[in-house]
Amino acid sequence: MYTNNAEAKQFSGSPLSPNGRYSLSKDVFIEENYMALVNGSKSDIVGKLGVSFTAGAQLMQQRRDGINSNAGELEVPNLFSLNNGVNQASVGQSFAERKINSVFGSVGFDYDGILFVDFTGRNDWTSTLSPENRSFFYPSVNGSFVFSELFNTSADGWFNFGKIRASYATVGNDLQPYQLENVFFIGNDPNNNTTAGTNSTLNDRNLVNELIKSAEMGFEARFFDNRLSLDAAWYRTNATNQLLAIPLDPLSGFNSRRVNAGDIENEGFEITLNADIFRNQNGFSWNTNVNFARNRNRINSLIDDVTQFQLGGFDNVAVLAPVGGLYGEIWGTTFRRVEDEASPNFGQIIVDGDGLPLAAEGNVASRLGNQQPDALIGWSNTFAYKNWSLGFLVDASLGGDIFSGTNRFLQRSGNAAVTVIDGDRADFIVDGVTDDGTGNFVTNTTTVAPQEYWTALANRSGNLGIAEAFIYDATHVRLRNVSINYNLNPKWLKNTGIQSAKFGLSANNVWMITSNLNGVDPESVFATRSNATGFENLSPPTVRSLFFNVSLSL
Amino acid sequence: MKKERFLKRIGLYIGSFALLFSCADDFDEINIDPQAANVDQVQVEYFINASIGAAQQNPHIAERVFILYWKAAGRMDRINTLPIGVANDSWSTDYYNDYISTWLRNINTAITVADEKIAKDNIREYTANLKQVARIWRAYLMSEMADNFGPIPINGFQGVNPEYDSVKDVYYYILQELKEATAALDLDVLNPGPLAALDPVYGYNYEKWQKYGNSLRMRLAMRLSEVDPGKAQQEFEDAASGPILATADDNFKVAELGGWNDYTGVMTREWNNQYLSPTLNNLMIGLGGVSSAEVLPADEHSKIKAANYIGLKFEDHFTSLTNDPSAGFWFDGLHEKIDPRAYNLFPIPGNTGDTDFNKFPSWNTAATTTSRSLILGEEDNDSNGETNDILIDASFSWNAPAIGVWGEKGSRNRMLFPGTLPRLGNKFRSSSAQRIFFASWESHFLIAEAAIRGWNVPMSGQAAYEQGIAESFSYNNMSQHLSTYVSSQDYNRSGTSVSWNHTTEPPASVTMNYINGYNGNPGTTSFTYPKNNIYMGGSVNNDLLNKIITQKFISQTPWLPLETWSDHRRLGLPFFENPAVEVPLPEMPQLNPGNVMTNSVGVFPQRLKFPSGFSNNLPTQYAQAVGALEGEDTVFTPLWWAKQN
Repeated sequence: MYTNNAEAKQFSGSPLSPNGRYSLSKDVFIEENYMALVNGSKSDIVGKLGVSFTAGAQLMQQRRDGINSNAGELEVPNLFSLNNGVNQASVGQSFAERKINSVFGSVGFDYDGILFVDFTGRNDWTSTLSPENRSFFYPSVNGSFVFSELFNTSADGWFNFGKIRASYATVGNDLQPYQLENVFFIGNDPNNNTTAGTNSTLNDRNLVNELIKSAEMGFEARFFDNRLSLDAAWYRTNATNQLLAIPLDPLSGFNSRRVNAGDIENEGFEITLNADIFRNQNGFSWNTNVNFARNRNRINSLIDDVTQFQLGGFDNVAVLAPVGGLYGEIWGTTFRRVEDEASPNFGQIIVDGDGLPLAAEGNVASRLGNQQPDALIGWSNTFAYKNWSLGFLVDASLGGDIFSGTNRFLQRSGNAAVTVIDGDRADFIVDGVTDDGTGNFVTNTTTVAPQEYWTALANRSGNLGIAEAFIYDATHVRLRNVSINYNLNPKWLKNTGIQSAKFGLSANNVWMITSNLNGVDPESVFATRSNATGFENLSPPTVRSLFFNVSLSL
Repeated sequence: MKKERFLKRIGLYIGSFALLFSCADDFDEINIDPQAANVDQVQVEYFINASIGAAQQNPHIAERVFILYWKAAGRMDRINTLPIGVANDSWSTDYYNDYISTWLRNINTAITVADEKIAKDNIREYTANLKQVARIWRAYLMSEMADNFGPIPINGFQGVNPEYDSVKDVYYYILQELKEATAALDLDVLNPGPLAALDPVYGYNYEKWQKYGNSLRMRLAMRLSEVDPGKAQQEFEDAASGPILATADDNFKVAELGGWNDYTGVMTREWNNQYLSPTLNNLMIGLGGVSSAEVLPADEHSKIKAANYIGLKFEDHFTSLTNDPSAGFWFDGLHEKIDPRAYNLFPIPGNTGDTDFNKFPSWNTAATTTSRSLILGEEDNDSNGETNDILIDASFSWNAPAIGVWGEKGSRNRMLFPGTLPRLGNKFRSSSAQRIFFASWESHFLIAEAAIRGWNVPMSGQAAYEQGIAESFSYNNMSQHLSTYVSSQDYNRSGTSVSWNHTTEPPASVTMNYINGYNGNPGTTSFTYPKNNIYMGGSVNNDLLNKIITQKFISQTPWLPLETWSDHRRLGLPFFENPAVEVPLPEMPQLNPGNVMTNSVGVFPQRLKFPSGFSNNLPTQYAQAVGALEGEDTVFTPLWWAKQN
């Protein structure tokens, strides 16, 4: 159970509102769970086979109650009371309730502590789906085989432990409340006269639960007295019937509709290598850990005839989720280039009569890249000596593309370093070709001033200019964290009643080792509610932080 | 014993599971939103009220659409957006997705709810009339959206992505709707008292709604005058034969409300300047032969300059790369003759004693700073020791310099700020006015235009024209100057005069006096009236249509910029000057110093682009809509009823 109280006070004196503004809201959320569980186990039922089981039932109930009010512009400056508005305070109310009843169970087998197999199943009945679709079942199975046990490995051999594992699991999710029917709402206008409206997302009685299916296979091994370990895993997760709000033309009567959308897949693998290069209890120790991960997020299908939907972007730059493609395709306008493959100028940028680059004919958008990185690598090291330890973490994101609106803005206003060459802003000739009037292309010889060039690039073909000029490779390597810790020698804590004390200093986001964005951090996001990481535009920069920690155990 | 206990345990478990499932029977009830209403609980008038109210535009959307789009394109302000080819995707997206589609959704819901109630016979005696009122208002909203974007769906709001119809089909549909809805209104129905509060315009006075419906039909019929004259004439004559919006009492207007809400005034944000536009200034200077001395108090007469004076010449500080006839000069006083409505709409810079003088923004002194400079060399300061900048006191001056990009001259000219140029007065900026959607003067100017086309209308062209002017003068409290005005043969800077019977073209040029701003030497210049090339090749400045549209433009200031934009797209009138191109305009490369002295349709904005979300999320539907547009989805594609070239 929790309560959210929010109060927004805007003080007078800003251009936005002369006397200030005030709003208030309270939100209460309560969840109750009742569970009954039976479990049991027996080893050596048949030979070395052991079995265990669980069976249970659960009643879950959630309720959310909220009220909010906005005084709007205040009459008396800086007096934050709901009755002090120029207009009557507007009031909003929210309420939602949901119940889920479930039964679940699992049974597991193990053979001699070497081979393990588990089965689970769960069935939910939810109040948020229609009676025909109310009940849904989701099972899973997983197994593992510690094959190193077959070899009678000993602790000081070179091979200590090996295991392979595999699993296939499904998880079901229901809807939020009140998403089945389309209804009317009653409201109030600023003159206190009644208004009415309709819901803006098209609801559907026939929605069913989401089902997320994931398969995973993994391998783990340890060597040399557990000083070296390797862990590798491959996974594929398919979110089927995902509950999404697909955009509609608002002139349909709704801005979006709720659908169960086909199949969105995440597939990838991860490898971790961990080594204790030096291991001395009170001497020098050094542990190093490398992690390599690669994930591909693909849209296998959506729904009906929907071929794509937009995740983010603005005007002539869009980050899309296309059916059959990778999540996060970046599309935008490009330079106009010579298309005749036979021409000696094939691929050259075409400039206009003023020597400035042109955008592709008709300002058509083309695929400029994809936001997903090819791989993520993390490397962490911890050094310890007696009571001191020092650690640092380097992580790298390789590949992926990003549209940098900040770079575009700086270049357009002449504040970017790239607009100055050798300390000067001399006129120059754009490397490209121009139409000589007869349909043939000749090398461009018209000089342009830097201001004309950069403003043309930043403004032609749309609000964000020729997008191709502002797409960058998002590869970056960063020193993510450095920390140093000291464990206080216990002899100084003898009579204090404190068991142990540890002091540490930790710095985050320490150093961007390489990046292609001229100082902009590829991780600075445009919108927190969006998955469009391939688009940034004047976002606040990421922060570097320093923490000093003290931890005491009593 | 063990077995019994075991069985009891099993029984307990089965029992509790059974209890579990009995708790599932209220699942249907709890999934109904307690705040939702059904069709029996809502009323048609609630939706009409919601639709009309939201269309007043809260300050967020009013700034973007009313000011930065309509006032800019309709040339009632000095704003570099649509006139230099720039439409901003987020403003267009907001307008399309969250505002106008919601107003249309609510009015369509009003009609479907009315139909459902009529089918169930769950009606009041006024329900059928409310449906007609909803149809009339929906026709207006559809025309507003189509005049901005072009093709829109006629059959939307069915819960599926709709097909888009061509502008022609949309206009034919709206005209048919207005014809049917105005005829179907039953004027004998008496409403219960409280109903009136749910209509902020007319209080559900059906006679007024009918008059508005007919006048709106006249406006939309006239829209087709160039592209489909037969249909235009037929619809117009039919509408004009019924009762029309003919007096100020019938004006379609909604009262503004203070605070920050849907009814807050559209021009109340302090950071928008609401400048006098060069287009309007050129129409008003010299028009009507009313001398400023007749309008202004005696203590201001010393600021009035002589006739035939054009101002101080500053070649290096004022651009001439525009066909604005007043370009290149700073007018350091008040005009000898000017349309008297100018002084009611725009208080004089520096005239802080005028209670209507607007002092926004309130957080700095820009509005009352009248003394500013033109830079010579570098800006004078202590480190460079220069003292040669020219200081100009702009109080009691009257200027509206061209928009566009002034390049070097713009960086040297530090004059152009809120305190030095005329801006709209407080009466339009304090949420105390009534926003006008259709005024009686528009009915009369439409009739005058129909008359000169030879259409069958209840008034003669001259009578309608002069009546329109009279109503606008009354609105501007300048009626005492009306008789002088209406008979004047003086030309304004665009070459048009007021008098209906005076259609002589202005002379090829007029000698005007100026003073060289750098050295004080007097000089003369040959002032030529601008060639409005897109209207009859630029050879006609003072025909009857020029007069009507000139008067209509001035009368529609400041409430109907969308209409002045539409009139110019349709007729090429009145004369809109080109923005300055000292430096290339990236979004409008078709205007350059080589052709800036001629007008062409290709350099005037024609519409708003569809929002990018439309093409990104609904590519098939978007392709169909662009197909209905019959042109590229750009700012410069002319709509069906507009001049194509």
